[in-house]
Amino acid sequence: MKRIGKILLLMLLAFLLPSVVKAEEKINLYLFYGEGCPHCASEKEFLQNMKTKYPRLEIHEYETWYNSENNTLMERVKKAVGDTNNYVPYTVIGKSSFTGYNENIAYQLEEKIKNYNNGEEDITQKVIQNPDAYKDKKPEIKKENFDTDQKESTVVVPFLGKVDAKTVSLPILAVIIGVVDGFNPCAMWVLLLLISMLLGMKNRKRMWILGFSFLITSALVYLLFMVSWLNVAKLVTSIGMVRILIAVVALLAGSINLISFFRHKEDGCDIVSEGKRKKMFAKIKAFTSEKSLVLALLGIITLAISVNLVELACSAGLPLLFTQVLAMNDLSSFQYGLYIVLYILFFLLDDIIIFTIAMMSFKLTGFSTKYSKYSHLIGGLLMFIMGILLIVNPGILMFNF
Amino acid sequence: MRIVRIGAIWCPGCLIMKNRWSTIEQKNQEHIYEEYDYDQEEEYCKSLQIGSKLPVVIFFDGEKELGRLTGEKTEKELYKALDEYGGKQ
Repeated sequence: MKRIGKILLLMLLAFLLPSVVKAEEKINLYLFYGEGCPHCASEKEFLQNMKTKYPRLEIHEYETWYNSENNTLMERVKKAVGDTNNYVPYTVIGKSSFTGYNENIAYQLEEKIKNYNNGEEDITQKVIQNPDAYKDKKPEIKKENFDTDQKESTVVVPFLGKVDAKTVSLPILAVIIGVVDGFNPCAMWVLLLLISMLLGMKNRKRMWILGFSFLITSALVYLLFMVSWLNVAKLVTSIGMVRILIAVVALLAGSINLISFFRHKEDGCDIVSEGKRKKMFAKIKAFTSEKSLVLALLGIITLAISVNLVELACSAGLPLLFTQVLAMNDLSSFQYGLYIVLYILFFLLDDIIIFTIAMMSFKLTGFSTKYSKYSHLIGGLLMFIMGILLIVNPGILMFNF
Repeated sequence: MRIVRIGAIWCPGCLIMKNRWSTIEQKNQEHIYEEYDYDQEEEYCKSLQIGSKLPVVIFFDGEKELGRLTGEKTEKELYKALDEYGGKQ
């Protein structure tokens, strides 16, 4: 009897042991991705090869752009691991995380799989079993395993030599969209009215101070709007429905611009409503003729704020879209700031040119209205195309990732 | 021929046209050129039924309107109008 019992126990152990050993040998890899993200697609292909090479590897995939539950899980895992970024693909093995995908990350992933320690804590599994496990963990800024060097995008540019196309795409976009946005005539008539009043002043220093204050305030209003939207966009950009909503806004705004281009065949200036014009005229006259420079300055600054808030409503599509593209790219705070400032600089370029020429020559000049007409065409096309890309293939807009 | 031009200081197209007209005026001094600001001469401009776009150029033979151009025009288009309404280049 005792002998039979021992044999049965041995048989039971023989049956269970392989499962126990098998469970310990598994390497759980968790991939959080976005449907349509090209880097995610590349990593999936790489991981399939890894699975063939390392049969222990078990890949768990979670789509996060259109599945809010998976997105929430990813946020919890990121918090647990200590990551603060908001990008995909996001890969976790044990306690290690990898954001993005390129040659370097592929190498690191394979090394991790090869040298995986069975005793390592599986953070993702813990979060799945207990969503509140790391609720109170404080985030830490980590830069390891976060390489966005895309060497395969190098191109040769005459006079400049080898240039990484991905790193110049965003500055070029900032310049192009900034210039196109700048030719929007929404606030140009106010600037010209202001300059015409300034030209009547005898005090040149006052002319320059008031004129530049208007331009600098205009730049700051735009900066505030773009930075505010960037902070919002960085939080919500991973949510598919929000991106679709922004895409729809872009398509609508783009369509309006294109219709405006085809409808208004004549170049020229639309006559602003009489009441609005007279009110503006009276305000500018009051501020520029104010004896106290400080009060005049305050008046001009207030004017610039109100005019540019209206202009934002008139042309919010382009700065909104550009900021959205920035939010989708992995950049440092300095880079975000730099690209926004670059955009604003080129946005204000036509204003700066007109103001400077007027101050130097005492003669008011302007840009042909055909430029504003074509800005509707180019701006409309840009918004339409980017709106479509945001829906069908947002990965194309992830230049620096 | 009397050529009446209506513009405004806040209209970039009008400012551009000013430069073009100054060249034409120098070469075609036989015509009478009149310039009005839409805000300063509101009543007169409204009597001419300007519409909603500036600049506007109206060609007169005495008090009779021969034709008009609305919006920003190139120098070539302006010379064409001068020829058409009885001017010479």
